[in-house]
Amino acid sequence: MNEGRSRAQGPAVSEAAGHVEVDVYQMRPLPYEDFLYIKSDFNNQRVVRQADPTAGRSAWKAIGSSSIAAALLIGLLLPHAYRLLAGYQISRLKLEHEQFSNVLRTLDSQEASLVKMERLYEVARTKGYAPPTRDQVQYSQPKDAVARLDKSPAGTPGENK
Amino acid sequence: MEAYADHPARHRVRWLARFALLWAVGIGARLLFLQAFSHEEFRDLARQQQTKLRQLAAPRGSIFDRAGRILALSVPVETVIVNPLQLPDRPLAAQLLARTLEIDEAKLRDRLETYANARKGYMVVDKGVSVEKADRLRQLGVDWIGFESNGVRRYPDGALAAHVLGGVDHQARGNAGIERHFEDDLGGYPGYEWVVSDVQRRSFDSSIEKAPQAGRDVVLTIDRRIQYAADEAIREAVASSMADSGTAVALDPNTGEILALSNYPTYDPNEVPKSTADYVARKNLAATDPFEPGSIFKVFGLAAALETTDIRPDTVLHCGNGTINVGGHIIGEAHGGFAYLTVEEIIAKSSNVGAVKIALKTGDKNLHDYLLRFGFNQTTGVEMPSESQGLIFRLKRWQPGSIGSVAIGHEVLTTSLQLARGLAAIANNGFLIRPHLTRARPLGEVTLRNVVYQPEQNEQPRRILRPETAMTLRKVMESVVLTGTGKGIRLDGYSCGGKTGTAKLFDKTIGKYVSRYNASFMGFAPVTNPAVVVVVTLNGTRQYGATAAGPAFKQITQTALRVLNVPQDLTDPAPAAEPVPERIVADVAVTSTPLKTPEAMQQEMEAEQGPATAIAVGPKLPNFVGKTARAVLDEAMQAGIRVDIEGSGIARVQDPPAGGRLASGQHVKVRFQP
Repeated sequence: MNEGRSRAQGPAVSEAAGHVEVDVYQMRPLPYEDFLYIKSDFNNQRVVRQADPTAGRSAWKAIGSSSIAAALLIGLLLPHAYRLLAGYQISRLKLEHEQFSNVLRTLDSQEASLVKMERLYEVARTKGYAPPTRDQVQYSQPKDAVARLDKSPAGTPGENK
Repeated sequence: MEAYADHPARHRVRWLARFALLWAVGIGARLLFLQAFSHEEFRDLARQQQTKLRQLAAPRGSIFDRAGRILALSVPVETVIVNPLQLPDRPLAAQLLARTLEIDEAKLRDRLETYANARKGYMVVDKGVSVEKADRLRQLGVDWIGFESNGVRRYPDGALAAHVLGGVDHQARGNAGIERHFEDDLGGYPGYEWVVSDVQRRSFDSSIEKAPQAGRDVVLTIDRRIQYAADEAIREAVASSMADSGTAVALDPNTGEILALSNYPTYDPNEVPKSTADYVARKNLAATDPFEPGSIFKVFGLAAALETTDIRPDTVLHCGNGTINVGGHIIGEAHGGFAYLTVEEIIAKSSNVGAVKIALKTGDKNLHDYLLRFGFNQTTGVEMPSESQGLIFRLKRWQPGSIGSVAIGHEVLTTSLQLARGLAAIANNGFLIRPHLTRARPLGEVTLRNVVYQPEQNEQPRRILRPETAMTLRKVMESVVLTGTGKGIRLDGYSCGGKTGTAKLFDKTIGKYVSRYNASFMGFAPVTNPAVVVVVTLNGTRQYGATAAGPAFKQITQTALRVLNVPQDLTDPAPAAEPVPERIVADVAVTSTPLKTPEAMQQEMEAEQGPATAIAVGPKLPNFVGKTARAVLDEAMQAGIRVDIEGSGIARVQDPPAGGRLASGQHVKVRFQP
């Protein structure tokens, strides 16, 4: 402790000469260098917290209220989240529907090209098919023929079967 | 402790805290400003970034034949685009695109280089790309390929029924035939929706601004099997008779349903017209091109006579031995002359003098009256644009010799469709029906969307002849194919009746009729209860009606009867076709000089009726410039105007401009820019 004091008292002087002689080469004291910090451990082992009868209730209250708050928050946000997910799904399904519609129309077009009259006649020619001759035709009261009897213009105005 | 309190470090800490507080207050103030005072502005900016107005396609309706077979439909295709400035490796990109799209790689590479050198950031690689090819490109997952979806109109049967269907222009709008007549129904109206997207451009919310209205389907009365037979028959007839053009119409006389309507030359509606000939081929001659019908017109004169005079099929008339003078106008026979003929023989042998004598007995007023009753000089109302109504002059404009000319099918103009309608009245025991092309539903089980159908087309048929007159006429017309000018035209298994006609064409350069004809045959089968009426006309041939048009009639009628499942009424097969002497089939309507030339009649007809093509006039266009998309859509909807929107932001340009009017089926194009 004393060792620390010498520099704290200021610069060294020579009194023999009758005046104070300053040793300019001596270091100036550092601020608060004469303070001594002592580390001492506290032993709180014998200290016992006094039992609080309301602590448990408070804890449960805190847990309950925070759970309710969390549930409310989730309840508020969940529909929005579901809506968002559903929105993505609807958009994806719309796109798929559009794609399938396009495919369907393309297939319709391809089918129509395959059964076009020119091609059918060509296939028939290749395979040697021909319209039936008179002897090969049997009329069995076709629906068309029966309906045609009632198709008199005067008899069925406005109808067009 | 006091020294510590006054230490400069504490001051520095305090200043730091003050600065931090000031900074926090600044940030808070800024946040407050952004959130509270600039809220609207930033909300709008965010909306612009996140929301996009997307057009909802309204696919054009399909067209079906009476059995529900597709005749026309729209197929989705894609346009592939790239930004040449963003391509990482142009040769590689050209190779990739060319292989997938099956186009010339070298040409594509050159185009990419040219565009890149010109600093152009948008290049169409290929149009009309199939969905499959576009999907293959999409699966590459590269961001420098873009796609634009659109549709293309396809006619799977090519030229089949081309003049009935018409076609569409480059904007997929009907420009002829059914496509044009039902443009508003077939075309539909595109819709619009606002789409909200996230940062990855994935949409998660949308709101419909205007619901799309898909085009409605049309079911035609056309049977494509009969139509194919008609197309083939008329093509062969034009070739074999060396005619300039030809038409054929097949009609159900009881309902007015047009089973086939064919013209030659024809065209493929899938192809874009390139030459003048292509445009000429698109003319629907059967409905828009009236001509002098010649001798086939004689049956309508006989109908008037049977109704208004005591003339009967067995009435004998003297046929002047070859010529007759009507008001100074000499009319002769095609070959030689006849002395006494019964009325039935006059029609069977197509005696001009006999027909004139019948007309003289009928009187011009009755004749004129009955021609109008048969529907001549008026449009049939068929669902096709630009139909001609032909020409029958008003009675007060008839000259002294006009009755003679009209009796043999001159000095009148008719279309093939009008002739078919007139003949249908004879075939259905005297009712004038309205020929039409659309049905309420197909015969087969086909799922369709909203079908276009106009019930008013089935207006009450009007009786114009007594039933006994119609039956008598059918018997007389049967004699034409049994013993008369149409002797070679017999059907296998069916009785039939008809009338041949050969009208000389007028050459305006020399001012005379020349030996080139409008050769026609119109007929029906079976005779007792006709199921089909067919009219065939060949223009500019040197052959007579029976020779030129007869075989086509036979081919079409035979097919139609088979397809319509009409029971046969003859047990004996048709006799083998034998060459018929020319003097028998000759039925040319011969006049000395025309009282009115066809050209003069055409001019008079147009002067009286206006040009054939009438352009419908729409509402007056409002000014869309400077308005938002929503405002434009609202205004257009209220005015019943169809708008095509391009871009986003504020409307900058509109075409046609404000104040103009839209033709039928036309849209306004409005371009938006920020």
